[in-house]
Amino acid sequence: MMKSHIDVSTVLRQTVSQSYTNLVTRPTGAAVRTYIEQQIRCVDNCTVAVIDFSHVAMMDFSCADEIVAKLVLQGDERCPTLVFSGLSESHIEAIDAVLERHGLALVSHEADSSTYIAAVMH
Amino acid sequence: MTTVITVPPSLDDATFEQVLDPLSRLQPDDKILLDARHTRWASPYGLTAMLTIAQTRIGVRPGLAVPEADDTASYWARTGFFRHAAELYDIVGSVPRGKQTESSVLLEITSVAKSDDVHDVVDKVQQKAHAILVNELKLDAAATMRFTMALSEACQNIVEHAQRGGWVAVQTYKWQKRLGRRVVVIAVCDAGIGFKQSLESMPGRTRSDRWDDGMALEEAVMRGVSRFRDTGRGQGLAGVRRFIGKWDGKFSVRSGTARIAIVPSWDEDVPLREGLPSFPGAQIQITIPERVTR
Repeated sequence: MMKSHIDVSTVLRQTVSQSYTNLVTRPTGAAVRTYIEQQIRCVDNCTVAVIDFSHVAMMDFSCADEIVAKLVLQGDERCPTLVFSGLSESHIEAIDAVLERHGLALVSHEADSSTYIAAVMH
Repeated sequence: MTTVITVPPSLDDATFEQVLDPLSRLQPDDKILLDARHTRWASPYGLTAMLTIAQTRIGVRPGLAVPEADDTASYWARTGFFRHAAELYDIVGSVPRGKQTESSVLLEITSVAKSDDVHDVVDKVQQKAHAILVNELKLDAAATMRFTMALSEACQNIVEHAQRGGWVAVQTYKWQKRLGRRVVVIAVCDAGIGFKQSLESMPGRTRSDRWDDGMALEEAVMRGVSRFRDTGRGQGLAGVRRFIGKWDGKFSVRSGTARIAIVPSWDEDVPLREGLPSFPGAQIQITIPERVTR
């Protein structure tokens, strides 16, 4: 099993600005998602991609939609399972709202005071 | 000929209509002077909305007479108002220097035109928000993130829809007259295309019998309709609405000739006001009161 671990705050700094710690605005979300998709594609036989939000201070609804909802909606047969980890209460709140809008549901699991959300694509 | 428009002594979202009423009867190229000499107080909404008035004037710079009261003028300076106003208005009267920081100003009046501006606004506010929301307004710690989310979404309304820049300001003060408690207020104002025109550009939109500013606001704010085909769009202001309920706060959006509001029990406003003096763009206000512990 090949696992890909993607630190979202590192992606944010690499793709948008070194100084940003918050995931806000549509263009930022789209840039981060595009980079994550590229990272997933780079791993041969990737079965699980862990997308880690531990170091993201805040994520607004626009970024939750651009990153989480669109990754789940679009899917990628090359990496059938996405795990969103290191989620805070406010991250969950934003994700919950955008998933509801798209009629999507994900499984969440709380462990070690942080929440993991798993999306099985296929 | 210059038309003098008197700015009320206390300028907030309600009294701002007294400025817009005479303004709406003028042509965009008529010369105006906003006379704020006797104004003693202005909310973040009043100050940011005053800047948007200048955006609507075509061909001739409007004038602005500065408040005569030193403490008022100093406060306006400390909010950053005059720095922006100087670029838009011919200023009449002396402007105090506003180098001192103002503890009640969570975010100075800041221009918003692009995505990077929203990042900057959120970063700046986050540093101070926790202390004010948790220590002064007695909100739970989670409120800080929700607050910055709401701020981000309100600012993005300008970036995504207005088609021109606007301003945001965040201040806290004791709202003695109406509430007797501290409040934190976010104001985000632009003089862009407004909700009605924005939604009219929605692909495949079917025209209904009733289509006006009030209906456009109902669709955008209450039903999360957006001009974009993407179903994930339109969640920003709907998300703000979600938080407002948790805080017993007030959320109002004015656009064109209408204003829609989520009205808490402590306020006597109406949910939808129509037939207001016409003014372009969108003017958003979020008011979060200090939590009362029972």
